[in-house]
Amino acid sequence: MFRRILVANRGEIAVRIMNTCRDMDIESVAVYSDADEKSLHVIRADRSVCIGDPRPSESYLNIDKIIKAALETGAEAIHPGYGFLAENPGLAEACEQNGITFIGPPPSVIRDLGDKTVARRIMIGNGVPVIPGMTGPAKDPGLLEKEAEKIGYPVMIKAAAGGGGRGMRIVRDPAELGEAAISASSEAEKAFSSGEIYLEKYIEEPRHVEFQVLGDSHGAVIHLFERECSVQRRHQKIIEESPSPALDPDLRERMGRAALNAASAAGYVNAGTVEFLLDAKGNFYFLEVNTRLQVEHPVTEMITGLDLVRHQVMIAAGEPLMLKQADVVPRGHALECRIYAEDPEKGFMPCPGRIDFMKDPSGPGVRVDSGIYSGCTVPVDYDPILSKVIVHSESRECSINRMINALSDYPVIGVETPISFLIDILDSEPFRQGDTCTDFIERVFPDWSPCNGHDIEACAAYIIRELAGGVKNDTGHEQARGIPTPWQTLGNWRM
Amino acid sequence: MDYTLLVGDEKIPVRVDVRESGLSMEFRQGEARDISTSLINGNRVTFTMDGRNVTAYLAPDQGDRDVTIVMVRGRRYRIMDAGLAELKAARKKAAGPDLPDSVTPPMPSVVVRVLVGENDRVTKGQGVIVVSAMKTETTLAAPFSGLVTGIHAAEGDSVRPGQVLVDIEPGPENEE
Repeated sequence: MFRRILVANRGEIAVRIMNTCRDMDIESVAVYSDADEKSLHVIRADRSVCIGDPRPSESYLNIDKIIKAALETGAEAIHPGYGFLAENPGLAEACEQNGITFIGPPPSVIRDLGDKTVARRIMIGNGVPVIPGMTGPAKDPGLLEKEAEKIGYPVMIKAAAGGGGRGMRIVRDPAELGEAAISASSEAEKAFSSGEIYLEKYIEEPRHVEFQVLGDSHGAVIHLFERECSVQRRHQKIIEESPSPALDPDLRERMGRAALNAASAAGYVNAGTVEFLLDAKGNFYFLEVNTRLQVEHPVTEMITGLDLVRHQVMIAAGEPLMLKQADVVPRGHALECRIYAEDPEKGFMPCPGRIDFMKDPSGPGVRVDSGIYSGCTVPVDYDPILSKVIVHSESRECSINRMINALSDYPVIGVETPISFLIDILDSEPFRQGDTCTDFIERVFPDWSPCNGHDIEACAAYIIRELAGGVKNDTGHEQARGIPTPWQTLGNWRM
Repeated sequence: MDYTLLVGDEKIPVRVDVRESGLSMEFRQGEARDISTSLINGNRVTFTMDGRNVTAYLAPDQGDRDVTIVMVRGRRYRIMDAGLAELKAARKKAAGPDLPDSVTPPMPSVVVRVLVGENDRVTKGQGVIVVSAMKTETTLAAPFSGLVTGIHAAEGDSVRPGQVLVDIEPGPENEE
């Protein structure tokens, strides 16, 4: 087993991976840019290596620096987390060349599945249903026009080299195709260093349902059931859950088998996710395989009771899968909300800055994967994910209430978060009914603004604090004052 | 004691009376609420209002220390003394007219694409430059119609809030 693992990532996922390393008695090595010197993942690691310039290309995306850090610290394996280099075959290859184990699939698999058009071709050849669309990327406007006519509008432009909403555009009107293609290609170039795009039929009101798979290096593959990730904003997932309210046992079985077919067809090793779109009639179509541990993996961990990172490490160390399909039994219902440093009142503009105060929610069935602490600074240079709140309970209804309560007890002051928006989504009738598909937010919350239901209580708190000396002084002690403060006459509690 | 609080954009009058058992607060000239116990622990304030426990979290706003951010049940409020707010607004006005809105990024960003050229006519709201920060692209728009008289940023430049990226001289709309 590895004695030391370097985590080539930052923020909440780096912290989470290091937690499992600690559980397994494996030393963790953090890498950090100058902007992350005081980050939680650095504090939590056993060792840390500074990789300099905050720009992603010079730090977390810099393969040479990452490899150098691993060699310097004697790390035997590298866990790439998600984003950054997780789906870059270059890192996996560099690991191989330097005698370091990459915790993930082999570079050839990453490469094949990382090219969305190659992935589609593999699936088509193996009987996995796919969305009608182009099998190869193209940039020529004339060709794109012809393909769009063939597929039939509305069409979706997608980036061949990556997902997460980057380089995606929906086109309903042929006249918009040209400009949309240029814009999508440019965004894709920035995000994935490749401006290659292709077209697919746009499926109306789809649900996004994905299956977690685990494959070992001896050919065995199992799935760990599904996650539904339909509540998205600009194609970025914000709420995920399992089980999906739309799956009955039969559909689950068929989709599970398709996910296994997809994974086997690609020769998949380690943890991955097979994504499908599910339409209202119960037809499902392969979307893509994500060759990494995903942001929303905790949802699966909660319903199966498994530690996915632990299995990733074991598989990477050459161990055969410890579980057979029949051993995986899901239980209860889990929900996850992603907490970003974004202002929902200002078009979700990212708002980096210092977190003056925060307090994690807690309680039975409440898990918080966090990368922040009171007083830390959220840098401008990276994706603004702060943390994830995950709840698990016996039923979907219980989970929704549990999540609303957890979010209501999760103050984050100093940067804005969409917590208020998330609470409204969770409490809405359509969400409680399980009526979720990928245009949920446009349909149900096109013009959201926060409610003011607690303004009286906020005013009371403000006045009480002012009378006690004001929050500016914030020492937590009573301030000595000449005039008797009203709180001396208040009940029995005092601090 | 009479307070007038500015909560976001709304002025809320509050009358506070000290009683034997605690405080009584009247909001917006409505019914009096009993505040009977309170516990202050750092940023957290817990109190009872009409018998029900309420917990709120407070911290000064980083941008303006006279403003307090108060969070209750996941909802955020910006609160300050309304009188103080008026005083500050008057002081600011006396200091001179505000600079007109300019083409400047809302946060430190990198220029992705310049959409206009010198001597182009632009209309209010027209996109003039695209910047990127935290993997999100934002198109900055002309705050008013006019003529582009200078472009001070190129693709790849790092830019900061306050930095004027495109000079526009105000002019009549659609002069053709």
